[in-house]
Amino acid sequence: MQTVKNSGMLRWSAVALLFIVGFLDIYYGNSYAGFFESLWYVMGAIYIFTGAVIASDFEPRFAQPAVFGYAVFLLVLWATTAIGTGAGLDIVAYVDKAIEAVLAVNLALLVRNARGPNLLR
Amino acid sequence: MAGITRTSGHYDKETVFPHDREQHNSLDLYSMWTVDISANSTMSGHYARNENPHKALRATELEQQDMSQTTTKQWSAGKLLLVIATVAIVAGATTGLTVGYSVRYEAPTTRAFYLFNSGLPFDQDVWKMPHDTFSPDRITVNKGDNVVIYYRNIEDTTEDHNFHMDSPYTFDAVVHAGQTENFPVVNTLHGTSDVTIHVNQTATITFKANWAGVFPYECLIHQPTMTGYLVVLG
Repeated sequence: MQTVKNSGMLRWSAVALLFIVGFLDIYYGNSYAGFFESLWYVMGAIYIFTGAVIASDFEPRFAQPAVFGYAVFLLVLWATTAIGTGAGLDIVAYVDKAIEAVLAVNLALLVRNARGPNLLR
Repeated sequence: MAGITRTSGHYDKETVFPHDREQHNSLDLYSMWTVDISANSTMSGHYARNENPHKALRATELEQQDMSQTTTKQWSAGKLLLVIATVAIVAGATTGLTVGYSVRYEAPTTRAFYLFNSGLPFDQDVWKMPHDTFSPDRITVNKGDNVVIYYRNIEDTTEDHNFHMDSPYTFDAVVHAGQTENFPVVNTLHGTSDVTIHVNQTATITFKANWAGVFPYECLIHQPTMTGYLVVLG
């Protein structure tokens, strides 16, 4: 019962974070990026879409790990691009990526909670 | 078939489990991939007891197939997350480093320009248009740059000049009483789209180039000739 409750909380917090990061990405692309801002729009739109998918609980065993992978991918992509070019090193990007890191942890906990430690659960 | 609560799909249930039709029809999507070991371990034994060696053999084969499928699909959460994170990190780093290597990027900076009124050598009355122009009439910056324009009215007559930008751009302006910024401030404007300066006055215009594109800046007093363009590279 507790696991189900935790799972629900983790799912809704993930949805909230996905929407926050999605809109922040779009805002950043519009106002700050100055570097492939169209990509920020796309990244934001995908986050909002995945937020809706996680909220609807559609295929959670696939969707939750996939969104986790997407968040980690973008986090690493931003870090390595920033190292290589100096792009995206400002306060909005830092806030955006900090929330993204929290989101990745949230999703990891959600996946772990939903699947449980048992291999054949 | 008592004891089988969930089993795997991908084969004809009617053929293999003819008398368990109802039970299998109620299976949900996830149970297609989920196996109850204790139940499966009794399947072939059940058919063996019912003297149906073909079905028992087929069931055993299917069990083996499904167990192997199930093993790959049913990683523990930790293992699954580790694999996904590894793939994501490798893919992200590869893409990011490639972009960093191949794309040149200039971080936003402050760019200062000196802007003057100028005049073309023709008779305004004959040509029926003002001979005034901007010098320079192109200002090019990168998106995100802070732009500072030192606007000087260098007329040798008493003619005023104006600096105007259309939406979405607005700017702050500080008008000084003389030829440099050391002279006293006579006017300060915030978020305006328009500033006018008299002869021998200077206006310091500042704004952030937040929108990419080509945007005209104009002296509304001397249209259509006194027009320049702000080019913001996105």
